Amino acid sequence: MRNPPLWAAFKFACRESRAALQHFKIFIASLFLGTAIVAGVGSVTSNMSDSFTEDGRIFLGGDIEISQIQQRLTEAERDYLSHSGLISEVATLRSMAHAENDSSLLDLKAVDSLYPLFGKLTLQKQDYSPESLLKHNGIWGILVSDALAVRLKLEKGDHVTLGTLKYQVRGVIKKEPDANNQGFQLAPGAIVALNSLFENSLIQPGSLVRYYNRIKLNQSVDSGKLIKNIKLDYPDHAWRVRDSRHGGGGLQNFVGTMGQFMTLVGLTALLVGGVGVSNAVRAYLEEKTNSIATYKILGATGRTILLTYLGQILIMASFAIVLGLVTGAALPIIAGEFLKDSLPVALNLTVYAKPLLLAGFYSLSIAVIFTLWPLGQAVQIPAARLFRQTITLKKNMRRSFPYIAVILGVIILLLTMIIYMSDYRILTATTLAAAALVFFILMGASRLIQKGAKSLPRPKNPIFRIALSNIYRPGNSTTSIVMSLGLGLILFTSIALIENNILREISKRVDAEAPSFFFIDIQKSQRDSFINYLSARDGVETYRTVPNLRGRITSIKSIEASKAPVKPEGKWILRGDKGISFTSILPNDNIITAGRWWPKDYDGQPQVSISKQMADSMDLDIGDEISVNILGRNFTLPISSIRQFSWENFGINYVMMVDPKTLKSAPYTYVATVKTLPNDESQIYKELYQKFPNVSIIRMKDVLENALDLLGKISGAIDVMAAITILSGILVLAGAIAAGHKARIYDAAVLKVVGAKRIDIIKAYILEFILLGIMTGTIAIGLGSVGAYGVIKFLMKLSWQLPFSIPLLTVSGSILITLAFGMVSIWLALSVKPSQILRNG
Amino acid sequence: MTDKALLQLRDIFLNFKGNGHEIKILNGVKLDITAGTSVAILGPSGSGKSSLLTIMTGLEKQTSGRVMINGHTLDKMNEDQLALFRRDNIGIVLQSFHLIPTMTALENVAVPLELAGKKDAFQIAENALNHVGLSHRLSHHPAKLSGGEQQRVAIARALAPNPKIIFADEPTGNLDGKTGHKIIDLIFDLQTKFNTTLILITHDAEVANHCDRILYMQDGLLVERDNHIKPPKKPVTLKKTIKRVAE
Repeated sequence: MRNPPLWAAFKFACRESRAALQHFKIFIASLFLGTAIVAGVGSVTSNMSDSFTEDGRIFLGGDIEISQIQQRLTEAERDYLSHSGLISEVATLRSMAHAENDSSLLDLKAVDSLYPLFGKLTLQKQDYSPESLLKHNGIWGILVSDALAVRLKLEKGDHVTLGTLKYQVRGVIKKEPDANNQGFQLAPGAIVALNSLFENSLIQPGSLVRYYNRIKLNQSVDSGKLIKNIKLDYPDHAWRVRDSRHGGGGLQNFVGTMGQFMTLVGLTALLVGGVGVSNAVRAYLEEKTNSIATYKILGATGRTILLTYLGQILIMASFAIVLGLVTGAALPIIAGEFLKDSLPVALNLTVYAKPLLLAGFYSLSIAVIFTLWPLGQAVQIPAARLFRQTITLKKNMRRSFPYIAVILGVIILLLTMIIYMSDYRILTATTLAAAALVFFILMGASRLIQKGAKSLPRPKNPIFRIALSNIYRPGNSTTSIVMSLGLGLILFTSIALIENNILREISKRVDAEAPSFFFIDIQKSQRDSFINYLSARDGVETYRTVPNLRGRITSIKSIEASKAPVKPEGKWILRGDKGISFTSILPNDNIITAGRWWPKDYDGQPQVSISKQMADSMDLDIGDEISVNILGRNFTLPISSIRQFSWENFGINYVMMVDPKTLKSAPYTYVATVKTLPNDESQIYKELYQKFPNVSIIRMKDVLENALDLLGKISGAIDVMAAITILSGILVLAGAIAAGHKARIYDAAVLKVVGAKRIDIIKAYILEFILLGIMTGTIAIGLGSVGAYGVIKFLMKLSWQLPFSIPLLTVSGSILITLAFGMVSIWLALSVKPSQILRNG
Repeated sequence: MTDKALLQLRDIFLNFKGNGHEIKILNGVKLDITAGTSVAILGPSGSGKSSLLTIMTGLEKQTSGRVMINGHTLDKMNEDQLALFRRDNIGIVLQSFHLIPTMTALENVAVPLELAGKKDAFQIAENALNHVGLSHRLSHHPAKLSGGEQQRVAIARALAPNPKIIFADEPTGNLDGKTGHKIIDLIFDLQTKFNTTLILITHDAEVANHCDRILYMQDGLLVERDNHIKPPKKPVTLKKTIKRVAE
């Protein structure tokens, strides 16, 4: 007896697929959505990364860039670099801009006539010419950002004062080619001529100004070799040297991080969609029971049945995946159109194989994981079912084992691939583990709901009885509704609770502790008059001034900083220059956790006190040495104490504080915090910027606005994740309700025959969906709150509160979504005449 | 036991457990069927006719006893071996036709031939459909065919692989009288033409009269009667038919 040939199964699969499309709508939609997101995110990220690489020198502003804080290149250094190409110099600093009636903090960029070496600076309604920045009739020009123009109500031709100089507005900036190279911007931007700075009072010893020297390399010069030579020839210089590969800067990292994050969104949507996939396959195979039994009667073996239906499912899955991949591949064009004003790069239609292959693999794996089990059960359907419909499938673990083994194998392969491909492996693994845990908890919760409903005493009211029994009867929608909506609602609840608690904490601390203003660049000569003004002025509650310098760690325990082993949470300390202060007295809110603070009149060898976070992340202890380059001079500093403090109180704190003697003669400035009475805040602000025009004032209000804006953007991105997960859940929900629809039509017909009024049937079904909505919402609140509590209490170490509004919103949303889809099913069920149903059996 | 017996049943018992009690369906059925003959198994609903058929076709395992077809003992075969055995030796016609709804008439008939790896499956299937008078309905799906036409497709499907034995379970049960007669005539014409062994499960005495042998299912046993039953002039209830047979 020869086994049936493989081609027979393939032929049967193709034939059966002709009419199967309508059964696979939810299957296709679920797989499509997840595939499209994963493929789309991958394509957009690859597209942008490519653009960053291709146009890196535009973003960087040169083929290579050498920058340092507070110091310009010397003639000799400039001469050395000029052999390699054309040099353009740019400086950035924070300053105050004063217009007629208002003033604003400003992120200022000062450029020379060669700017920009690459790319184009575009202005609104006019072309840029370096001429526009030069002195006309004794007044320098300034190009302002749209945000500054709006804030200070500036128009072309208006005047604005920076430091001691008046500038004339000569245009409004539309797009700066190197905008992403400057990092986080606290304030609106503006561009002036570099030479104007040197006539101005803005740059004083110790001012926080950074000079960038960008080089357009001669054709014969190799950037890699040049960077190597620079490091060899100037080993002690605290230069930051970058080439065009790093042109994307922070945005490049941001795009990468967002890409990883959104991939997780897509995978979550795929996971939720998996429930829909499984439901669709189960419902389809249930309808195919007789066909499967018929095949068996005609001589089909289990293998042929498996291949026939697996073939069909794979045909459908391939259709959904290909559709998702095509949409994903086209996403850069759609995204490019929507984000063209916010993105520094133009996205193009380039098909990137890697993200598409990965998305295809993920989706196919999900399809296999979620379909193999129902398929395995279907293969075991006995042929004798054609004679006796009551024959049920006996669970046969021996026969089910191969399916379990394959499912587990695919799960392991999928997880390994996802984690391996991620740049944040621990975060990805944790997210996947959490999703899986939630998945199983939801599965268990749905079983509990059914058991609970079954064990309740039978209500006397028939409407309640029908509603309750619908929750646990065979073929109920409980598991599908809880699983499909649950994950998205949990995500929504936890995000909302985390956001709510953070905002509450910020506003609490701002009211209680935070200063009204930060001041930067107070000159040594201004300090006394600054303090005199504050101590004499009514309405000033508290103030604090501390000396401030910038320095970069060059080595840790004699190991070059870039090669030293540092934990991820401490890497930011090594990135660029960091603030350094010195004082004889330990700041009030600092606690010494190891070592000893130096005596008030300390006059010995240089010492440094570091933060606990720095010590922990760099494995530093008392007596260990770090080298810090401050204004071009290297200091080797033994650690004398380790401090613990909290950043969250908005005070001035430093990772590194040096003894007062070592830096006393360095060209430092002061920074200050001032807390005023709320009613005096505006007036004091005005008086201070008029009295100290060179001092930059950062209003707490503005910082808070920026922080909230950033928080809003982050939570917006997470909200997208929750929305996509909920959307995926809604698809599954629609499928689950549709699957139970046939039984509902039959029930409605029977109830009508036995005399139930239309309104009674509607009431029973509405009650069923409301109960399911409440239970799903309650589970989401429970699990979401646990997650949010963990993040707030243990990760962020903030106080916890459960506001009433969020649980209410979650349950309402859950009821509304469940009811909306349920109502469609109810309406369709009631529109069918009983005779029609009962005649057809 | 005769030497030429194509089908041999030896002491077939079938018990089910239900509500803590053991329900006895078959009580030691013995049967020999010679190749080329037609046998009717008559009996009321619930008498165990269909259970016996599922055992004879290897779709269900008996509690004890032995089933042999064409010298092969079915009891020792696993599910896949039984499927292959059915494919090569047995044709089954069911009361509810059980055609695959997504396939055309021709494709339905071709299924067992394709499972057997026959390259000319569609040619053989077309010939089989010609035999049952459906050459004009080859590309129709089951939903577009009448009940009688669907049963003809099922008969063509059962006959196409040229099986040694055909089992028909109430083949006219879902058809009106006139169509039922036509189907019965067709089954017997083809049985004679192809010299196939036919085992017909029915509770219709008139249908049973077409067969060479008539067996009655009673108390889980098969009882053979030599004389054929005279078909009633008026429709009679099944209860009356059995009473008459018993007398």
